[in-house]
Amino acid sequence: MTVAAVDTDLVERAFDQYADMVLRIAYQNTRNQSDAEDIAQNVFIQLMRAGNFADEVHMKAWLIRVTINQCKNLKASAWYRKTTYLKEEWLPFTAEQNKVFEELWRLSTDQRNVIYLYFYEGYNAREIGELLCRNESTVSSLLNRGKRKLKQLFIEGGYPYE
Amino acid sequence: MNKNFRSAFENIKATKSFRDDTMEKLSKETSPELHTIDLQPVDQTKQTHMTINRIAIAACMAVIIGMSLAVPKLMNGDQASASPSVFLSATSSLTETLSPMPLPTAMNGSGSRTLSGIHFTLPDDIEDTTEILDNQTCAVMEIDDEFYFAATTRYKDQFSCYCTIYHYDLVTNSYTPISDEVYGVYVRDGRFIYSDDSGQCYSNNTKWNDEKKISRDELDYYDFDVQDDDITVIDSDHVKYSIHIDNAILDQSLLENYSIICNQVKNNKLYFNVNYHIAEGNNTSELFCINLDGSGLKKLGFEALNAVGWTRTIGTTVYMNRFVADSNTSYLYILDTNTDDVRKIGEVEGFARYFAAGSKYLVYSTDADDYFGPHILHYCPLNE
Repeated sequence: MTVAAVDTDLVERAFDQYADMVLRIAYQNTRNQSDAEDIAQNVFIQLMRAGNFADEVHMKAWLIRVTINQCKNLKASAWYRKTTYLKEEWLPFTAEQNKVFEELWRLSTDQRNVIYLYFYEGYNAREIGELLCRNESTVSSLLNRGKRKLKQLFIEGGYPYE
Repeated sequence: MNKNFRSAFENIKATKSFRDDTMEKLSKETSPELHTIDLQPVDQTKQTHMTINRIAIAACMAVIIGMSLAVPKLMNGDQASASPSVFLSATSSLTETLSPMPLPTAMNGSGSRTLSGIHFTLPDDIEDTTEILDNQTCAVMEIDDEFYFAATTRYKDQFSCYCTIYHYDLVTNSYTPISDEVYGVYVRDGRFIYSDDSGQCYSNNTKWNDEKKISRDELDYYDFDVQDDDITVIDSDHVKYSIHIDNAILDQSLLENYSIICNQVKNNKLYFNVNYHIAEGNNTSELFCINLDGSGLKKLGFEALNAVGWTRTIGTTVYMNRFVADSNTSYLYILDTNTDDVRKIGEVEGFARYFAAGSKYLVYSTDADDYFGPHILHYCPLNE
């Protein structure tokens, strides 16, 4: 009996196209480059096992969801809970860029993910709701509260908010 | 902020060494020896499962798309009827697995009459008409056995819309606008609650001649924050309640991927959903409640549906829709928040968006054709 060949080309193309996105999501959730890279590798290994997707839109959505879930799993692990990290940055960051992450990490995990998907990936609230299994109004609420809080944090920190 | 935000994230990139390392690990995954040896005995099973999964995914994706469109655009304008009841509706193809609870024939929608469609003229100043959902309802409400619906007129921003309230006369089968254009509407204690552009809230009577300003504190507003299994509830007096959800009560087979969604506080109890993500496009949802002091966690029992679910939160009541793939039947429920009993009050054809129940009638709106199109209002007698 033979095993169906895994479409390595697909995974490689997916890696080239979405590895940065996966790393960004993982980093903002874990605050640690090593963890982010471990998670990214696991995500692409899972992608290889997952088989084909109807189209690229679904694959991208799948990658986002699995990445966030991997981050949750990591945070839930006993090992992670007992580990205290030294702050590890993804160098080189400018002071302004560092400030963005500092303030982002003061938001809740959900707010952070919603804000990232909205501002950076360009998803709307409905689409984010689908991705995160949340209803649209919850996403809107997370987004609005997150934006308000970020704005306040930026202003309090003396940084421009535009 | 957006510029700095993008710039910060742009810095996070896969390095060459990371790429090489990942590719090496991936190549080990595809090693023919590994798969031939390890997977041979289960290969056929795996193939079967994959086929089933793909069928399920295909079936569910259609619903997910529809679901997403069915999620109310109006964040706080979708409530029906008065406290203490909580209204729920569900759509399912799993008819045979649903409760055999007998329903009067008049309640199954067979006696319903279809009301005529609602038509609006879009304002000229709206450029992106693709975002305009004309002829759609965004709330169905009941006050003193009289029915009202809110119809979407235009979007305020990406997430919320303006609407006009209409009174529907069941006797003459006609409807009349009773309000100006308002933002966000629901019913509480027999009055309409809504707000203006500035966020100022008002209440008004059914004659629309008794507008009163109301403060946010008067709305029994609650703010929720969920961090994994820990929920923080903050009431309008800024009193904070910290609640931990013991996930032993959750479906242990689905703990891989779930999220908690807070719905509403009523009678010092927090009502919340747990949404389980099963597979691509396949979700299920359960409803729970817990006392604000953290005691009394319990699952509210009604038919377990393989559903994507959500709950709408307004005032002192909650309205929930639950929908399932490849079905065209909606199940309407009322949850009594005094006893936490869930009671099915109707089973109707179509993809129900909103409903309200009076003492004699049930009024609900459905999609006329598809998720993108106009809605149709229906009513059917209760217990006649």
